[in-house]
Amino acid sequence: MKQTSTSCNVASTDSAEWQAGRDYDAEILDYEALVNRCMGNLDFVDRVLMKFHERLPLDLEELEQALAGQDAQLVQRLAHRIKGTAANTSAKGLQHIAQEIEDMGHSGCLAEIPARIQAFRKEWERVQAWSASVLSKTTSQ
Amino acid sequence: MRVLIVEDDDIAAGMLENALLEFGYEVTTAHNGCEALELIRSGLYQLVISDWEMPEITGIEMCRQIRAQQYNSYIYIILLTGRKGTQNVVEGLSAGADDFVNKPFEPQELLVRLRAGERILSLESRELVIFSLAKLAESRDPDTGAHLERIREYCRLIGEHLSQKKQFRDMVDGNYIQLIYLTSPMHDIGKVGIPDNVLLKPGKLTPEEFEIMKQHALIGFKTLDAAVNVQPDAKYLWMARDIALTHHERFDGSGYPHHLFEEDIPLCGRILALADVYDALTTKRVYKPAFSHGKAKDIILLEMKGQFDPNVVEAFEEKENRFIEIKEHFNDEAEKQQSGCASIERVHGMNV
Repeated sequence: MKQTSTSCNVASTDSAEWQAGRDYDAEILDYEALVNRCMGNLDFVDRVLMKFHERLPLDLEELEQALAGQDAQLVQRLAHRIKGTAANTSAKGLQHIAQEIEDMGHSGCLAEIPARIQAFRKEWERVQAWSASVLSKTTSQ
Repeated sequence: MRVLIVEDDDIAAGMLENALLEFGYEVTTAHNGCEALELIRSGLYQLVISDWEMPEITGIEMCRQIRAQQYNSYIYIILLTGRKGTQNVVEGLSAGADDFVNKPFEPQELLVRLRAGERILSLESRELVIFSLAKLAESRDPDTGAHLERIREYCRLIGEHLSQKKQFRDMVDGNYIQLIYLTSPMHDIGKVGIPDNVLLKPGKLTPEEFEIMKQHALIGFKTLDAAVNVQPDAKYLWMARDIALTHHERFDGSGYPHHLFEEDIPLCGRILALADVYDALTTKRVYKPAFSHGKAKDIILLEMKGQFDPNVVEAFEEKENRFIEIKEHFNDEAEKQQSGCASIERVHGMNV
Protein backbone atom coordinates (compact mmCIF):
# COMPACT_ATOMS: atom_id res chain seq x y z
CA MET A 1 0.00 0.00 0.00
CA LYS A 2 1.25 3.45 -0.84
CA GLN A 3 1.09 6.19 1.71
CA THR A 4 -0.62 9.48 1.11
CA SER A 5 0.10 12.76 2.78
CA THR A 6 -3.44 13.21 4.08
CA SER A 7 -3.67 9.75 5.65
CA CYS A 8 -0.45 10.36 7.61
CA ASN A 9 -1.82 13.43 9.37
CA VAL A 10 -3.96 11.34 11.69
CA ALA A 11 -1.01 9.48 13.11
CA SER A 12 0.98 12.66 13.62
CA THR A 13 -1.83 14.19 15.65
CA ASP A 14 -2.12 11.05 17.77
CA SER A 15 1.60 11.10 18.37
CA ALA A 16 1.54 14.71 19.50
CA GLU A 17 -1.30 13.93 21.88
CA TRP A 18 0.57 11.01 23.32
CA GLN A 19 3.77 13.00 23.77
CA ALA A 20 1.82 15.68 25.58
CA GLY A 21 0.10 13.13 27.76
CA ARG A 22 3.33 11.34 28.57
CA ASP A 23 4.68 14.28 30.57
CA TYR A 24 2.14 13.78 33.31
CA ASP A 25 1.60 10.05 32.79
CA ALA A 26 4.91 8.92 34.20
CA GLU A 27 3.60 5.46 35.01
CA ILE A 28 5.30 2.95 32.76
CA LEU A 29 3.09 0.04 33.64
CA ASP A 30 -0.08 0.27 35.71
CA TYR A 31 0.82 -2.46 38.15
CA GLU A 32 -2.38 -2.14 40.15
CA ALA A 33 -4.52 -2.66 37.06
CA LEU A 34 -2.38 -5.62 36.05
CA VAL A 35 -2.70 -7.23 39.48
CA ASN A 36 -6.45 -6.66 39.39
CA ARG A 37 -6.68 -8.27 35.95
CA CYS A 38 -4.70 -11.21 37.33
CA MET A 39 -7.21 -11.50 40.19
CA GLY A 40 -4.60 -10.53 42.78
CA ASN A 41 -2.46 -13.58 42.05
CA LEU A 42 1.11 -12.21 42.20
CA ASP A 43 2.72 -15.41 40.96
CA PHE A 44 0.51 -15.22 37.94
CA VAL A 45 1.45 -11.55 37.45
CA ASP A 46 5.11 -12.59 37.35
CA ARG A 47 4.40 -15.30 34.84
CA VAL A 48 2.50 -12.85 32.64
CA LEU A 49 5.35 -10.35 32.76
CA MET A 50 7.92 -13.02 31.95
CA LYS A 51 5.85 -14.21 29.02
CA PHE A 52 5.48 -10.61 27.90
CA HIS A 53 9.25 -10.16 28.00
CA GLU A 54 9.83 -13.34 26.05
CA ARG A 55 7.32 -12.57 23.37
CA LEU A 56 7.51 -8.89 22.71
CA PRO A 57 11.00 -8.85 21.09
CA LEU A 58 9.83 -11.61 18.72
CA ASP A 59 6.66 -9.71 17.85
CA LEU A 60 8.69 -6.57 17.27
CA GLU A 61 11.05 -8.43 14.98
CA GLU A 62 8.11 -9.76 12.98
CA LEU A 63 6.72 -6.25 12.77
CA GLU A 64 9.98 -4.89 11.39
CA GLN A 65 10.09 -7.65 8.81
CA ALA A 66 6.57 -6.83 7.71
CA LEU A 67 7.56 -3.20 7.46
CA ALA A 68 10.64 -4.08 5.41
CA GLY A 69 8.33 -5.99 3.09
CA GLN A 70 6.00 -2.96 2.90
CA ASP A 71 3.11 -5.22 3.90
CA ALA A 72 0.79 -2.64 5.43
CA GLN A 73 -1.92 -5.19 6.25
CA LEU A 74 0.49 -7.41 8.14
CA VAL A 75 1.97 -4.37 9.88
CA GLN A 76 -1.51 -3.43 11.02
CA ARG A 77 -2.30 -6.94 12.26
CA LEU A 78 0.97 -7.36 14.15
CA ALA A 79 0.72 -3.90 15.68
CA HIS A 80 -2.81 -4.76 16.74
CA ARG A 81 -1.57 -7.89 18.46
CA ILE A 82 1.24 -6.03 20.23
CA LYS A 83 -1.23 -3.36 21.28
CA GLY A 84 -3.50 -6.03 22.78
CA THR A 85 -0.67 -7.63 24.73
CA ALA A 86 0.52 -4.24 25.99
CA ALA A 87 -3.03 -3.32 26.98
CA ASN A 88 -3.53 -6.56 28.89
CA THR A 89 -0.28 -6.03 30.78
CA SER A 90 -1.27 -2.39 31.37
CA ALA A 91 1.85 -1.03 29.65
CA LYS A 92 0.03 2.08 28.53
CA GLY A 93 2.91 3.80 26.72
CA LEU A 94 3.61 0.73 24.64
CA GLN A 95 -0.08 0.30 24.00
CA HIS A 96 -0.36 3.83 22.73
CA ILE A 97 2.60 3.63 20.34
CA ALA A 98 1.38 0.26 19.04
CA GLN A 99 -2.00 1.85 18.41
CA GLU A 100 -0.30 4.56 16.35
CA ILE A 101 1.57 1.97 14.31
CA GLU A 102 -1.66 0.03 13.78
CA ASP A 103 -3.39 3.18 12.55
CA MET A 104 -0.50 3.93 10.21
CA GLY A 105 -0.64 0.38 8.87
CA HIS A 106 -4.38 0.74 8.40
CA SER A 107 -3.99 3.94 6.41
CA GLY A 108 -0.98 2.60 4.49
CA CYS A 109 1.19 5.35 5.92
CA LEU A 110 4.34 3.31 6.49
CA ALA A 111 6.98 6.04 6.20
CA GLU A 112 6.58 7.26 9.77
CA ILE A 113 6.51 3.83 11.33
CA PRO A 114 10.31 3.41 11.79
CA ALA A 115 10.32 6.48 14.04
CA ARG A 116 7.45 5.05 16.01
CA ILE A 117 9.21 1.72 16.31
CA GLN A 118 12.20 3.58 17.69
CA ALA A 119 9.96 5.26 20.24
CA PHE A 120 8.46 1.87 21.00
CA ARG A 121 11.90 0.37 21.64
CA LYS A 122 12.77 3.22 23.98
CA GLU A 123 9.56 2.71 25.91
CA TRP A 124 10.19 -1.01 25.92
CA GLU A 125 13.56 -0.41 27.61
CA ARG A 126 11.80 1.55 30.32
CA VAL A 127 9.27 -1.24 30.77
CA GLN A 128 12.05 -3.83 30.93
CA ALA A 129 13.94 -1.86 33.55
CA TRP A 130 10.80 -1.31 35.56
CA SER A 131 9.75 -4.97 35.30
CA ALA A 132 13.20 -6.18 36.29
CA SER A 133 13.02 -4.18 39.48
CA VAL A 134 9.50 -5.42 40.26
CA LEU A 135 10.32 -9.05 39.46
CA SER A 136 13.52 -8.99 41.51
CA LYS A 137 11.58 -7.55 44.43
CA THR A 138 8.84 -10.16 44.28
CA THR A 139 11.25 -13.07 43.80
CA SER A 140 13.43 -11.95 46.70
CA GLN A 141 10.41 -11.73 49.04
CA MET B 1 -20.89 -23.45 33.89
CA ARG B 2 -18.55 -24.04 30.98
CA VAL B 3 -17.09 -21.10 29.09
CA LEU B 4 -15.25 -21.29 25.81
CA ILE B 5 -12.56 -18.64 25.36
CA VAL B 6 -11.52 -17.96 21.77
CA GLU B 7 -8.31 -15.94 21.75
CA ASP B 8 -5.21 -16.23 19.59
CA ASP B 9 -3.06 -14.21 21.99
CA ASP B 10 -1.76 -16.62 24.61
CA ILE B 11 -1.18 -13.90 27.21
CA ALA B 12 -4.72 -12.57 26.87
CA ALA B 13 -6.11 -16.12 26.83
CA GLY B 14 -4.17 -17.00 29.97
CA MET B 15 -5.41 -13.92 31.81
CA LEU B 16 -9.01 -14.58 30.83
CA GLU B 17 -8.71 -18.20 31.84
CA ASN B 18 -7.21 -17.26 35.20
CA ALA B 19 -10.03 -14.79 35.93
CA LEU B 20 -12.81 -17.15 34.88
CA LEU B 21 -11.41 -20.06 36.88
CA GLU B 22 -11.27 -17.75 39.86
CA PHE B 23 -14.95 -16.91 39.29
CA GLY B 24 -15.78 -20.61 39.35
CA TYR B 25 -16.29 -21.34 35.66
CA GLU B 26 -15.03 -24.38 33.81
CA VAL B 27 -12.86 -23.01 31.03
CA THR B 28 -11.71 -24.29 27.67
CA THR B 29 -9.54 -22.19 25.39
CA ALA B 30 -9.52 -22.33 21.60
CA HIS B 31 -6.71 -20.47 19.88
CA ASN B 32 -8.53 -19.78 16.66
CA GLY B 33 -12.01 -19.67 15.17
CA CYS B 34 -11.81 -23.10 13.49
CA GLU B 35 -10.89 -24.83 16.73
CA ALA B 36 -13.70 -22.95 18.47
CA LEU B 37 -16.32 -23.99 15.91
CA GLU B 38 -15.27 -27.63 16.31
CA LEU B 39 -15.64 -27.39 20.08
CA ILE B 40 -19.03 -25.66 19.81
CA ARG B 41 -20.27 -28.51 17.61
CA SER B 42 -19.76 -30.82 20.59
CA GLY B 43 -22.75 -29.12 22.24
CA LEU B 44 -20.83 -28.59 25.46
CA TYR B 45 -20.55 -24.82 25.23
CA GLN B 46 -23.31 -22.25 25.43
CA LEU B 47 -21.21 -19.37 26.68
CA VAL B 48 -18.45 -18.09 24.41
CA ILE B 49 -16.03 -15.20 24.89
CA SER B 50 -14.21 -14.42 21.69
CA ASP B 51 -11.64 -11.96 20.50
CA TRP B 52 -12.84 -9.92 17.54
CA GLU B 53 -9.57 -9.72 15.63
CA MET B 54 -8.14 -13.13 14.86
CA PRO B 55 -6.32 -14.53 11.85
CA GLU B 56 -8.30 -16.72 9.40
CA ILE B 57 -11.73 -16.67 11.06
CA THR B 58 -12.43 -13.41 12.88
CA GLY B 59 -14.74 -13.24 15.87
CA ILE B 60 -17.39 -11.71 13.65
CA GLU B 61 -17.14 -14.48 11.08
CA MET B 62 -17.28 -17.05 13.85
CA CYS B 63 -20.51 -15.45 15.15
CA ARG B 64 -22.05 -15.66 11.68
CA GLN B 65 -21.12 -19.31 11.32
CA ILE B 66 -22.53 -20.18 14.74
CA ARG B 67 -25.83 -18.45 13.96
CA ALA B 68 -26.02 -20.10 10.54
CA GLN B 69 -25.82 -23.53 12.20
CA GLN B 70 -28.99 -22.95 14.23
CA TYR B 71 -27.90 -25.17 17.10
CA ASN B 72 -30.60 -26.64 19.32
CA SER B 73 -29.25 -24.72 22.29
CA TYR B 74 -28.65 -21.02 22.09
CA ILE B 75 -24.98 -20.01 22.12
CA TYR B 76 -24.40 -16.72 23.95
CA ILE B 77 -21.43 -14.87 22.47
CA ILE B 78 -19.48 -12.05 24.07
CA LEU B 79 -17.00 -10.29 21.80
CA LEU B 80 -13.81 -8.83 23.21
CA THR B 81 -12.88 -5.73 21.34
CA GLY B 82 -10.92 -2.53 21.47
CA ARG B 83 -13.18 -1.18 18.74
CA LYS B 84 -15.43 1.69 19.54
CA GLY B 85 -18.28 3.40 17.75
CA THR B 86 -21.80 2.59 16.72
CA GLN B 87 -20.76 1.09 13.41
CA ASN B 88 -18.73 -1.62 15.12
CA VAL B 89 -21.50 -2.35 17.59
CA VAL B 90 -23.98 -2.70 14.73
CA GLU B 91 -21.59 -4.95 12.83
CA GLY B 92 -21.06 -7.16 15.87
CA LEU B 93 -24.73 -7.45 16.76
CA SER B 94 -25.71 -8.05 13.13
CA ALA B 95 -23.25 -10.91 12.95
CA GLY B 96 -24.91 -12.49 15.99
CA ALA B 97 -22.87 -11.31 18.97
CA ASP B 98 -24.88 -10.82 22.15
CA ASP B 99 -22.61 -8.52 24.10
CA PHE B 100 -19.23 -6.78 24.07
CA VAL B 101 -16.42 -6.40 26.56
CA ASN B 102 -13.75 -3.77 26.06
CA LYS B 103 -10.11 -4.76 25.81
CA PRO B 104 -8.25 -4.90 28.07
CA PHE B 105 -10.96 -6.63 30.06
CA GLU B 106 -11.86 -5.71 33.61
CA PRO B 107 -12.61 -8.89 35.59
CA GLN B 108 -15.66 -7.52 37.40
CA GLU B 109 -17.21 -6.21 34.20
CA LEU B 110 -16.57 -9.52 32.50
CA LEU B 111 -18.23 -11.35 35.38
CA VAL B 112 -21.44 -9.29 35.29
CA ARG B 113 -21.67 -9.72 31.54
CA LEU B 114 -21.23 -13.46 31.87
CA ARG B 115 -23.92 -13.53 34.55
CA ALA B 116 -26.25 -11.64 32.20
CA GLY B 117 -25.55 -14.27 29.57
CA GLU B 118 -26.28 -17.06 32.00
CA ARG B 119 -29.61 -15.45 32.86
CA ILE B 120 -30.58 -15.31 29.20
CA LEU B 121 -29.60 -18.93 28.69
CA SER B 122 -31.50 -20.14 31.72
CA LEU B 123 -34.62 -18.25 30.69
CA GLU B 124 -34.45 -19.73 27.24
CA SER B 125 -34.32 -23.31 28.33
CA ARG B 126 -35.92 -23.68 31.72
CA GLU B 127 -39.60 -23.20 30.93
CA LEU B 128 -39.60 -25.66 28.10
CA VAL B 129 -37.58 -28.24 29.96
CA ILE B 130 -39.68 -28.02 33.11
CA PHE B 131 -42.99 -28.41 31.39
CA SER B 132 -41.73 -31.15 29.06
CA LEU B 133 -40.43 -33.20 31.97
CA ALA B 134 -43.63 -32.70 33.90
CA LYS B 135 -45.70 -33.72 30.88
CA LEU B 136 -43.55 -36.78 30.40
CA ALA B 137 -44.22 -37.84 33.98
CA GLU B 138 -47.92 -37.11 33.61
CA SER B 139 -48.20 -39.05 30.36
CA ARG B 140 -48.11 -42.33 32.32
CA ASP B 141 -51.31 -41.32 34.02
CA PRO B 142 -53.70 -40.28 31.24
CA ASP B 143 -56.59 -39.87 33.67
CA THR B 144 -55.52 -36.43 34.79
CA GLY B 145 -56.25 -34.44 31.61
CA ALA B 146 -54.96 -30.88 31.75
CA HIS B 147 -54.03 -31.27 35.41
CA LEU B 148 -50.68 -29.49 35.06
CA GLU B 149 -52.15 -26.57 33.15
CA ARG B 150 -54.81 -26.06 35.83
CA ILE B 151 -52.45 -26.55 38.75
CA ARG B 152 -50.09 -23.81 37.66
CA GLU B 153 -52.98 -21.41 37.14
CA TYR B 154 -54.37 -22.16 40.63
CA CYS B 155 -50.92 -21.71 42.17
CA ARG B 156 -50.45 -18.40 40.43
CA LEU B 157 -53.82 -17.19 41.69
CA ILE B 158 -53.01 -18.10 45.27
CA GLY B 159 -49.55 -16.53 44.94
CA GLU B 160 -51.05 -13.31 43.60
CA HIS B 161 -53.40 -13.12 46.56
CA LEU B 162 -50.66 -13.80 49.12
CA SER B 163 -48.41 -11.17 47.55
CA GLN B 164 -50.96 -8.57 48.60
CA LYS B 165 -50.76 -9.61 52.24
CA LYS B 166 -48.28 -7.79 54.45
CA GLN B 167 -46.85 -10.94 56.04
CA PHE B 168 -45.92 -12.45 52.67
CA ARG B 169 -44.84 -9.28 50.88
CA ASP B 170 -41.12 -9.94 51.40
CA MET B 171 -41.33 -13.47 50.11
CA VAL B 172 -44.08 -13.55 47.51
CA ASP B 173 -43.21 -11.09 44.77
CA GLY B 174 -43.58 -11.21 41.02
CA ASN B 175 -40.55 -13.45 40.72
CA TYR B 176 -41.95 -15.93 43.26
CA ILE B 177 -45.26 -16.08 41.44
CA GLN B 178 -43.49 -16.66 38.15
CA LEU B 179 -41.37 -19.40 39.72
CA ILE B 180 -44.32 -21.24 41.22
CA TYR B 181 -46.13 -21.01 37.89
CA LEU B 182 -43.08 -22.55 36.22
CA THR B 183 -42.29 -25.23 38.76
CA SER B 184 -45.66 -26.37 40.08
CA PRO B 185 -46.14 -28.76 37.12
CA MET B 186 -43.13 -30.70 38.44
CA HIS B 187 -44.88 -31.74 41.67
CA ASP B 188 -45.62 -35.31 40.58
CA ILE B 189 -42.46 -35.94 38.58
CA GLY B 190 -41.55 -38.72 41.02
CA LYS B 191 -44.47 -40.75 39.69
CA VAL B 192 -42.20 -41.95 36.89
CA GLY B 193 -40.71 -44.22 39.55
CA ILE B 194 -44.04 -45.78 40.61
CA PRO B 195 -44.88 -49.18 39.07
CA ASP B 196 -47.78 -49.32 36.60
CA ASN B 197 -49.77 -51.78 38.71
CA VAL B 198 -49.94 -49.18 41.45
CA LEU B 199 -50.03 -45.94 39.47
CA LEU B 200 -52.65 -47.13 37.00
CA LYS B 201 -54.71 -49.34 39.30
CA PRO B 202 -58.39 -48.71 38.52
CA GLY B 203 -59.58 -48.75 42.09
CA LYS B 204 -58.70 -48.03 45.67
CA LEU B 205 -55.10 -48.76 46.66
CA THR B 206 -54.32 -51.23 49.41
CA PRO B 207 -52.32 -49.84 52.35
CA GLU B 208 -49.18 -51.49 50.90
CA GLU B 209 -49.82 -49.98 47.49
CA PHE B 210 -50.47 -46.60 49.03
CA GLU B 211 -47.09 -46.81 50.77
CA ILE B 212 -45.51 -47.39 47.36
CA MET B 213 -47.47 -44.50 45.84
CA LYS B 214 -46.30 -42.19 48.62
CA GLN B 215 -42.73 -42.79 47.48
CA HIS B 216 -43.29 -40.46 44.52
CA ALA B 217 -42.64 -37.43 46.73
CA LEU B 218 -39.21 -38.72 47.72
CA ILE B 219 -38.38 -39.93 44.21
CA GLY B 220 -39.22 -36.48 42.82
CA PHE B 221 -37.19 -34.83 45.56
CA LYS B 222 -34.13 -36.99 44.91
CA THR B 223 -34.30 -36.38 41.17
CA LEU B 224 -34.55 -32.62 41.54
CA ASP B 225 -32.04 -32.52 44.38
CA ALA B 226 -29.48 -34.04 42.04
CA ALA B 227 -30.25 -31.24 39.59
CA VAL B 228 -29.89 -28.65 42.36
CA ASN B 229 -26.45 -30.03 43.17
CA VAL B 230 -25.38 -29.64 39.57
CA GLN B 231 -26.78 -26.13 39.24
CA PRO B 232 -27.13 -24.64 42.73
CA ASP B 233 -27.71 -21.12 41.42
CA ALA B 234 -30.94 -22.11 39.66
CA LYS B 235 -33.63 -20.97 42.11
CA TYR B 236 -36.40 -22.66 40.14
CA LEU B 237 -34.81 -26.05 40.79
CA TRP B 238 -34.87 -25.39 44.53
CA MET B 239 -38.54 -24.53 44.39
CA ALA B 240 -39.34 -27.52 42.15
CA ARG B 241 -37.51 -29.77 44.61
CA ASP B 242 -39.39 -28.35 47.62
CA ILE B 243 -42.70 -28.72 45.83
CA ALA B 244 -42.02 -32.33 44.83
CA LEU B 245 -41.12 -33.24 48.40
CA THR B 246 -43.80 -31.37 50.33
CA HIS B 247 -46.96 -31.12 48.26
CA HIS B 248 -48.55 -33.96 50.25
CA GLU B 249 -47.57 -32.55 53.62
CA ARG B 250 -50.50 -31.18 55.61
CA PHE B 251 -50.60 -28.11 57.82
CA ASP B 252 -51.73 -30.21 60.80
CA GLY B 253 -48.90 -32.72 60.39
CA SER B 254 -51.08 -35.46 58.91
CA GLY B 255 -49.35 -35.48 55.53
CA TYR B 256 -46.36 -37.32 54.09
CA PRO B 257 -43.51 -38.12 53.67
CA HIS B 258 -42.13 -36.31 56.74
CA HIS B 259 -45.32 -35.30 58.62
CA LEU B 260 -44.21 -31.67 58.68
CA PHE B 261 -46.28 -29.07 60.51
CA GLU B 262 -47.36 -25.57 59.57
CA GLU B 263 -44.47 -23.25 58.57
CA ASP B 264 -42.03 -26.17 58.50
CA ILE B 265 -43.66 -26.90 55.17
CA PRO B 266 -42.28 -24.52 52.54
CA LEU B 267 -44.88 -22.03 51.35
CA CYS B 268 -44.76 -23.39 47.80
CA GLY B 269 -45.65 -26.84 49.17
CA ARG B 270 -48.57 -25.38 51.15
CA ILE B 271 -49.88 -23.59 48.08
CA LEU B 272 -49.59 -26.66 45.92
CA ALA B 273 -51.28 -28.88 48.50
CA LEU B 274 -54.54 -26.99 48.18
CA ALA B 275 -54.34 -26.55 44.42
CA ASP B 276 -53.66 -30.27 43.95
CA VAL B 277 -56.51 -31.39 46.20
CA TYR B 278 -58.96 -28.95 44.61
CA ASP B 279 -58.05 -30.27 41.18
CA ALA B 280 -58.34 -33.89 42.26
CA LEU B 281 -61.78 -33.22 43.73
CA THR B 282 -63.15 -31.32 40.73
CA THR B 283 -61.99 -33.74 38.03
CA LYS B 284 -63.11 -37.21 37.24
CA ARG B 285 -60.87 -40.05 38.33
CA VAL B 286 -61.23 -43.80 37.86
CA TYR B 287 -62.25 -44.10 41.49
CA LYS B 288 -64.63 -41.08 41.70
CA PRO B 289 -66.71 -38.69 39.63
CA ALA B 290 -65.84 -34.99 39.23
CA PHE B 291 -67.26 -33.05 42.15
CA SER B 292 -68.80 -29.62 41.74
CA HIS B 293 -66.91 -26.56 42.92
CA GLY B 294 -69.34 -26.23 45.83
CA LYS B 295 -68.78 -29.76 47.02
CA ALA B 296 -64.99 -29.44 46.62
CA LYS B 297 -65.08 -26.20 48.58
CA ASP B 298 -67.04 -27.84 51.40
CA ILE B 299 -64.56 -30.70 51.57
CA ILE B 300 -61.60 -28.31 51.71
CA LEU B 301 -63.16 -25.96 54.24
CA LEU B 302 -64.98 -28.47 56.41
CA GLU B 303 -63.93 -32.08 56.01
CA MET B 304 -60.25 -31.24 55.54
CA LYS B 305 -60.29 -28.34 57.97
CA GLY B 306 -56.85 -27.78 59.48
CA GLN B 307 -54.99 -29.59 56.72
CA PHE B 308 -54.23 -26.46 54.73
CA ASP B 309 -52.51 -23.20 55.56
CA PRO B 310 -55.31 -20.77 56.61
CA ASN B 311 -53.75 -18.04 54.45
CA VAL B 312 -53.87 -20.31 51.43
CA VAL B 313 -57.45 -21.27 52.22
CA GLU B 314 -58.32 -17.59 52.49
CA ALA B 315 -56.76 -16.99 49.07
CA PHE B 316 -58.84 -19.85 47.68
CA GLU B 317 -62.05 -18.38 49.09
CA GLU B 318 -61.19 -14.88 47.89
CA LYS B 319 -60.41 -16.11 44.41
CA GLU B 320 -62.99 -18.87 44.13
CA ASN B 321 -64.67 -17.38 41.07
CA ARG B 322 -61.36 -17.44 39.25
CA PHE B 323 -60.86 -21.07 40.36
CA ILE B 324 -64.20 -21.90 38.77
CA GLU B 325 -63.30 -20.04 35.58
CA ILE B 326 -60.01 -21.91 35.26
CA LYS B 327 -61.67 -25.27 35.93
CA GLU B 328 -64.40 -24.62 33.37
CA HIS B 329 -62.02 -23.21 30.81
CA PHE B 330 -59.92 -26.35 30.81
CA ASN B 331 -63.01 -28.57 30.81
CA ASP B 332 -64.17 -26.69 27.70
CA GLU B 333 -60.76 -27.13 26.13
CA ALA B 334 -60.88 -30.86 26.81
CA GLU B 335 -64.34 -31.11 25.25
CA LYS B 336 -63.22 -29.18 22.20
CA GLN B 337 -60.25 -31.46 21.80
CA GLN B 338 -62.47 -34.50 22.09
CA SER B 339 -64.81 -33.12 19.43
CA GLY B 340 -61.86 -32.37 17.16
CA CYS B 341 -62.12 -28.61 17.21
CA ALA B 342 -59.42 -27.70 19.67
CA SER B 343 -58.32 -24.15 19.59
CA ILE B 344 -55.79 -22.13 21.45
CA GLU B 345 -57.21 -19.00 22.86
CA ARG B 346 -56.50 -16.49 25.54
CA VAL B 347 -59.24 -16.12 28.10
CA HIS B 348 -59.37 -14.35 31.38
CA GLY B 349 -55.72 -13.34 31.03
CA MET B 350 -54.49 -16.93 31.11
CA ASN B 351 -51.77 -18.15 28.81
CA VAL B 352 -53.08 -21.39 27.45
